[in-house]
Amino acid sequence: MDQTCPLEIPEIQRIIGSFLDMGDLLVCARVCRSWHETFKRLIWIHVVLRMPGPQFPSYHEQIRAHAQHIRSLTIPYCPFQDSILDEIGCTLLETLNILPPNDLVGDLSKGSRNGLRRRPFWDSLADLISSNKRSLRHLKLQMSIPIVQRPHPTPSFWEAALGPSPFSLSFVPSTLLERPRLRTLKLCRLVLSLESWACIWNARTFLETLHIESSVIASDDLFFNAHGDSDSAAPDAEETTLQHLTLAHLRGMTALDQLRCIIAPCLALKSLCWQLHPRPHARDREAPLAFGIRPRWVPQWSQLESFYFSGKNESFHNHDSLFSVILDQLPINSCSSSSNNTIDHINNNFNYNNNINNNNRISTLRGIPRKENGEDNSILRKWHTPTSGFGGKAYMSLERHFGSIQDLDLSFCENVTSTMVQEILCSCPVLVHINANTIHIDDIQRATHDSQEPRPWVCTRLRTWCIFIDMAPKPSNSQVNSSSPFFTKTKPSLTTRAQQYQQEQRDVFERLALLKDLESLDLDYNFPRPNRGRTGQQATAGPKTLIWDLEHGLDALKALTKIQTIAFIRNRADAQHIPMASVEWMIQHWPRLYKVDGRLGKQKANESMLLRLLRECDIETG
Amino acid sequence: MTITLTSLDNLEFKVDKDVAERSVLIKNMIEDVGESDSPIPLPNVTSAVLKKVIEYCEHHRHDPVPVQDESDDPRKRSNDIEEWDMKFMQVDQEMLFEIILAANYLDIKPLLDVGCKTVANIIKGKTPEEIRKVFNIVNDFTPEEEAQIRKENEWAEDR
Repeated sequence: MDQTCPLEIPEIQRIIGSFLDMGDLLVCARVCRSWHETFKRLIWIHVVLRMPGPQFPSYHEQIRAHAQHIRSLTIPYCPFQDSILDEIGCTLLETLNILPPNDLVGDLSKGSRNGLRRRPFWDSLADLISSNKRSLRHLKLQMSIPIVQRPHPTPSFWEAALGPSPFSLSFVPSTLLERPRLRTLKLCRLVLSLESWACIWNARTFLETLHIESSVIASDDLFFNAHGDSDSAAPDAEETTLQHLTLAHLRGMTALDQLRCIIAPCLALKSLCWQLHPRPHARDREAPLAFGIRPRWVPQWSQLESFYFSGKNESFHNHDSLFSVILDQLPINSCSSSSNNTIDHINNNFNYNNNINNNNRISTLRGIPRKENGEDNSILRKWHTPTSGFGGKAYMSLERHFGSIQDLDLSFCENVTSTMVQEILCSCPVLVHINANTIHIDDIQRATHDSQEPRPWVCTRLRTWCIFIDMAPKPSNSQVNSSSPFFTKTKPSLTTRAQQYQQEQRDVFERLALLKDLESLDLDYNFPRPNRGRTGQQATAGPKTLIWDLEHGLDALKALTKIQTIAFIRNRADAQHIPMASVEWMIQHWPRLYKVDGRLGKQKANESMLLRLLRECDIETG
Repeated sequence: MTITLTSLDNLEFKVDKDVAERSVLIKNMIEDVGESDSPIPLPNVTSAVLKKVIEYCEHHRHDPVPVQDESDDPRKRSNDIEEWDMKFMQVDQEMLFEIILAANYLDIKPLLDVGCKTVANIIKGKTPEEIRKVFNIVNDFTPEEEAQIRKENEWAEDR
């Protein structure tokens, strides 16, 4: 066996160092010579440039001495800088962050050296970027509020950073140039003139990630009409490499223009995060988002895995159609899938009520094409459209993707019904996170006691549950299965009603108990409050929470050994009463529990004892 | 298909192919040699260590293969070691070092990472003198050098 100690091997030292924070790295650099050599490099990887206090006069010299080790540099903005940037000497930078000026880091323009050699910040920065062109991968510019008072990157800066725009005289088609190596561009609170935007837009031919937040794009009707002409909008012929796009709170462009001119042409997108600004653009009403569903403008993404949208300034009806069209357009790629077997396996083992026929085979799951080997499969993993108009149309389009969807957020969408939520739980085998409105006991009961096909929740890999379980029955209507003994129209006596209620509770607990990977259970977030939307059908009386005690079947949840956090109703007025026995039970049976949120009772006095007990067991309380 | 591995002290270990291929070195050897029953010699690894390495590979045989990342990783966490791995790493220091060396030689990145995280957790919060003591490292600095280094990096201790 080799007698070398692994701690003497520089590569292993580097791996160990990558797990240590700055304080420990400094200590390690003092252990011995060989450690010093390795760890000194790790210390200098990330540097925040700032004015050192008077006791560290050699700080800037230190930086210059170690410039070749620096991979990530953070610089606070100031209008003029005092030659520090010019002389810094880095040529191997991979990440460059420009932050708003900050009292902690001081003002670089008040340098102690040659006050005469001041240059505008953006010019010095452009030079720095040019010197690091081969290595620079990530660039982040962040200004502060208010936007318009700060000078913004000049077009010449953008040219240096991203190459000239197609409108510039020095433009050369990117095929003839060596492709810039920049991969990520993040812009926050900037004002982008037309020429600046043209440079950035041209960068979609080599960037992987573009993130624009709280910025203003000074759009011009002429420019954008030429850009993505309304009558001849073939998707951009130029190849785009952009995979991740975030547009958050953009001003200066209507929502439709954002969709048409920026989002839809990015054909290679894997993930999109689109947040509309709360205050609509002046022309949003003339050109509503609904126009985006015209065939020639519908985004033709073939690799989209993740979609996030939030925006309240459009009418919800537009959202539903738009989502539906987008979901329909997402192609189903062929690949062999084994999740088919998962569904059968779940069905065969699902037996939670002795009264039900044990032979729980289900021949098809509604909405999912039967997957044989080699047949088509969707790739959509994540769909987040909280507080939007997601409704019936979009839901039907989403059905094709039930086989692949892992992360779903439909919270506070008024048009999402409890029936839809129940369907989702019964049809999405690889679901890991769900945040949806409410599920009513009626829908759960129907799936349980339907005489033909009892249907379990197939999402057994679920880790996060954020759905309010409403135990109050919906008003009786034609959807109710009148042949089931639990929906008799005659008024049941008090004892049978109590028994019925107990049974319903047990059913819910038994269903939850099948979600063995569950880590987080939130029974409150989507609680229907007066100013928030409720699921499509209103309950007869107010919403009713799950009774959290052992008499009603809580014990079934001891199967959820991985639970880490649980949240009860947070609003005192609607709070449910949690008995002491239940709290003790939770502590005993859930070893990983570390946080209990929400109120544990209507009275503070009763609650304080429970809270104390939880805190004694190292469990955080809300 | 099973592969036979031979340790430094000539003990043979039979493992399934997919378990053995968690080691990139072995995987490449198999590809080069092709279908063959002859055992693969590992002259740098003793049987005690090889046994531990095989145990790790068998437990993690179904994990997805880690993807090579070309860029410098941002600061990584060391407090997310799984329970099984933590128990696996509860060995004396000598064995810990030998596992790290073996993982490095056999090119098993996840095992190397876990070993290094374990060492990082030992280092955290200690002074240089304590680190030297734990790992039996000789201090080869002169007092002047030590003071110089201290001074050079003073600015960073502010943060």
